[in-house]
Amino acid sequence: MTGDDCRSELLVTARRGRLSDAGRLALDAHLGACASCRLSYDVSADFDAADVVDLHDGARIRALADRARRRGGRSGRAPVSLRAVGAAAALVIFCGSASAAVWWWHRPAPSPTAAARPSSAPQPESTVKRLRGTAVAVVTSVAPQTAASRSPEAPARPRTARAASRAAVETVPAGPAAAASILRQATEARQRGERARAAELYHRLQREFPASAEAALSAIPLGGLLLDDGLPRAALTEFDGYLTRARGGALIPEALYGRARALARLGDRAEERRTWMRLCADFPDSAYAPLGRHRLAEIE
Amino acid sequence: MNSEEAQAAGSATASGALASLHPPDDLLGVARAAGRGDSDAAATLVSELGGGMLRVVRKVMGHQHPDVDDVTQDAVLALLGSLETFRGACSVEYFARRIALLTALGARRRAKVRQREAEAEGGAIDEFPGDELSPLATTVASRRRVLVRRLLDDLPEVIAEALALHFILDHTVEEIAEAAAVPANTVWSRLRLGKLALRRKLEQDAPLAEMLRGTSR
Repeated sequence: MTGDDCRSELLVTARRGRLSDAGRLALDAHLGACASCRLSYDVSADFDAADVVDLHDGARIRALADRARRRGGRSGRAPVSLRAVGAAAALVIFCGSASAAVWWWHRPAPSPTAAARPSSAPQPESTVKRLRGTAVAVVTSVAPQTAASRSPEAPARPRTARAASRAAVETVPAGPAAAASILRQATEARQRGERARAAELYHRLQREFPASAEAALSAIPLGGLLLDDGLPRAALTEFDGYLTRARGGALIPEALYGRARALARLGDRAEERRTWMRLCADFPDSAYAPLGRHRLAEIE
Repeated sequence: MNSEEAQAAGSATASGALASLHPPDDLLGVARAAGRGDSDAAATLVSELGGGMLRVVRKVMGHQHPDVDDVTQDAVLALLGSLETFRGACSVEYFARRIALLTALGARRRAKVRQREAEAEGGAIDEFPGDELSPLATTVASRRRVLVRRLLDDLPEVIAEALALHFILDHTVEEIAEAAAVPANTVWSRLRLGKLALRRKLEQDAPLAEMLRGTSR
């Protein structure tokens, strides 16, 4: 089929990460023959590449939230700390991006590239640089699929999600950079909507580099994926794993938030309540605390 | 985008494709509270959804567009204004992203003339250079995004919306049909017309054709 009347939705299914291996093969074959779906593939990839964050997004979202609060008729409370804004921006804007999480790890492992990991000390003025570094990491993290599909060196089309996944595996470096590389590939897979692939990479990271900071951090996005896939018990294990390992970690509010959601799905109201209470007590300025207060009111 | 349009963004039935798409919605409670005028809930909701809405607006408007902040704010206000009557037929996140997309599409149409005047012929580049993207590939992707956006400005509104939901938000035909309250065949037809127009636009764009020749050598 070469026209614009193709009614296949394999591509959408693939972009949501809901395609089986057999489905991926079918998509490979289909893209080779269908100009309509190939056009959708290219254009969607173009817009994926434009899915970027900006240095000042954290402040923008904070301003929007403040305006929303004022619109509700109450005066705003004290502004949240810069750290909280940064963490919220990283997690909210990047949808829990593992790259952002790595950035927040208080004892980060060595980075393979300066772009992926800023190196400045955590001084106030360096926050901007760190934000910029994170943004670059996010910008570059969505690039490979588009780059490879249209670079002069690799003109063969179509380049499918499966091919991209294979290439990603093949580019894992050896040595200390491998954990960071796998984490980054998992993030990219998640951003492409390849949820199963992302989960596979997170599991691989935890299996092959169990002592790495990246493995600990992977528990947060993996828990989120499992929760979205209707596996709250497995998600709970991930969130609890992070809370056990990352004492004082920067993503504890996110882990508590995920834990509370998992417990809600499991129907464990008492433990869910305790988790929300801890979140609200220990992190009253986090983006999740108001949600926790509402949920506590609902439970009680 | 007015509240009527915003409501249309989530007008699907709860038993339909939109509802089946999403797991239990963690934000529904806070959205309900925000809809009742709870200011903390509204702020929480915007903290949760603002980043995603901003990114959708940026995709539609272009990263460098000077109105991105204003349009995102309009979208957020449209979201808050529509929560009171939000029926929860789809997830709050889906609802918010759709509102952001429709708001941005409308804003582009309103700003079309001004934007065109500001753009030098063939010079519109919306570029995101990355370490792993070749300069040529970056330019091709950028040029194609610009052309798609221009097409969305020019197409009939319903076709533009279907195309944007399909390309940018990965909606299936069934989801677009339910949200727009039209038969699936109508959406198929809109997508077909939209893709046909896009193909023509891409083929007729001399700079893009030149770049693509470069990539295929």
